Amino acid sequence: MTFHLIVFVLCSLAAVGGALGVVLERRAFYSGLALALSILAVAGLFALLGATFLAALQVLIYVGAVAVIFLFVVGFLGVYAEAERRLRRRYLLIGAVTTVVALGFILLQVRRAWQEATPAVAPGVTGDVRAFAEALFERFALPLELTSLFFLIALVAAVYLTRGRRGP
Amino acid sequence: MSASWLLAYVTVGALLFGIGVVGFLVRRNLIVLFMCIELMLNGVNLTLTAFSRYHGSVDGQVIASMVIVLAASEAAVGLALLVMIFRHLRTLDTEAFTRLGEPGQ
Repeated sequence: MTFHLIVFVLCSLAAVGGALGVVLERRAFYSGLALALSILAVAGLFALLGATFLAALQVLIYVGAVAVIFLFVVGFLGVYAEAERRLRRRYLLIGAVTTVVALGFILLQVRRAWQEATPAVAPGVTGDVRAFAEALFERFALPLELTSLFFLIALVAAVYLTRGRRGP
Repeated sequence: MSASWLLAYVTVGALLFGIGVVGFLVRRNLIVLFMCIELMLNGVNLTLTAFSRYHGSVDGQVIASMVIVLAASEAAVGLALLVMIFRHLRTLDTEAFTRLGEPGQ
């Protein structure tokens, strides 16, 4: 239990600290590195929750593909050295209000879960890859296919958008 | 998993989401705005997984895995658009994108 607590504190500190780094760092390249740190820490939290397959997906897709693509684009466009002069501070209030509303809504849900007092399930049940696969390919088969179709469309669109000027 | 652990996990998720919202509204670099969207999606994924563990069901994890794929495709299309915008305007500052704005503002 104490091990769980220590890893949880380390991972959540890294996740929140990385997120703060993304927002506060003025240079886009370092923002991307902070994003990779935050995503890795969230993968650690997934593993701690028993969602080992999701943690692997997170590392493979998010850190390995998305964060690297972000860093690649920052370097490709050559904007890594260009720091922002000022932030748009007038939107800070809207952001704070949105955050408080979202937090309040989630805490309301937690309070309901608290009152319902769901019977505890045997640990390790949710970490089972077999259960994950059965849910994914049986009950969620249609959303899965739609997701893959969406991914294909996005891939074609991205290639089409970034094609050379002399392309067909 | 006890309810206090659930509270701890969803608090981290809500913090990630909130930091993402504030960053999206405050920053002006288009690439950083996309990074902030990824932060928000990460917060949502963490909340989904925490509730999934709490209820002893894998449904939340399945939805979270789909969110990861959708985030990847969103990043692909978004960054392609961003490269196009940079080719046209030579900047990624959101304050420079005024072509659709009302004149005189």
